[in-house]
Amino acid sequence: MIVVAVDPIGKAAVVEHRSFSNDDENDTLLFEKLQEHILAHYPNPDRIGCPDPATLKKFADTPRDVGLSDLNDLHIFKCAECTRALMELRQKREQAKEQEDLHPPAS
Amino acid sequence: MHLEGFERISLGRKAREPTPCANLVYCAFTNLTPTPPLVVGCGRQKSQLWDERMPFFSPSELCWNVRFPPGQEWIETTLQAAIKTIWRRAQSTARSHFGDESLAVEMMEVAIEKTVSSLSKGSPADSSEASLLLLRFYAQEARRRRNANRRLVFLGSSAELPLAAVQNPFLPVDSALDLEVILHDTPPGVRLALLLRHSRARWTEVAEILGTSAASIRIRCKRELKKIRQRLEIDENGT
Repeated sequence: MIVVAVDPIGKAAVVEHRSFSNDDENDTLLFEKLQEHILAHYPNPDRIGCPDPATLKKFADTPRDVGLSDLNDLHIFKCAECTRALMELRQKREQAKEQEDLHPPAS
Repeated sequence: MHLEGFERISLGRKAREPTPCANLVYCAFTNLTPTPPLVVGCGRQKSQLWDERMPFFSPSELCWNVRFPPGQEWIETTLQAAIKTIWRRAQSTARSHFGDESLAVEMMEVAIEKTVSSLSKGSPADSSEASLLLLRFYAQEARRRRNANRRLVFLGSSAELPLAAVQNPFLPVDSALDLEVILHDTPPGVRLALLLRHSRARWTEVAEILGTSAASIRIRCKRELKKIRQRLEIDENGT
């Protein structure tokens, strides 16, 4: 489905509205929506029940080494702060990976 | 005059006037007569009182503006006892009727004025009689405000309000319950897979971590993914 929108300065913009039927094999849209939902509906400024930052970092870097109990079960699904922290860690990790790909360490 | 608590209570007073307020952009009054309108969501007053988690206002604070008739000092004592008796109920009424506990202060002030006026005309009453009278005037004021509310026209929807303006303390709890219900019976493997995918790992990576295939893990998570889609109120067909 394509939605055509006109912006205030009169320049036409084409916005592609993605639906779940167009979601990719990674269900990216679904998880993006879920992430937005958690950020909007689960504020936890007092960080109640949050796993420690080191565990979150470990989960972002080497998820294999982290179990459900370390993460306080499904806490991250109910915590905007942890979700945000995880997003940042993941972003940092991807940036580092990109840098590594661009400038591979000399062997 | 009781100066203690003046600032807090005077904010309550001011809130009855149609003063410009940043958080009022989403509402407008259709009736522009000088009747005191209800101010919905007055940011400063609401947030200040809310931040204090609505402490108990002492009866003397609530009576700060009332002049007790000379020779009828018993009214003050009786009224203070009456306020103590009904205050929690008044807060609960304000919360359930208007979704805003802080309005109890303003409504109580009006009820107090009317009660004092009524008591000063009659014979001395005890605190239980004064409580009933106060409660009646409080309910009357609540009704008046509900009627005034009907004259409000809401422009736009709550979705257009900034998140910070929505201070419903039950909202996180309600949402949490929803997701907990969705994932209540989910096996640990699926839970971990969903968490991994939520942390931006691709299904292939999730499968590798869990020692299975991407197709298999997606099928195992299918039921939960469908429920989450439904929770997010988005039709799978995009309608």
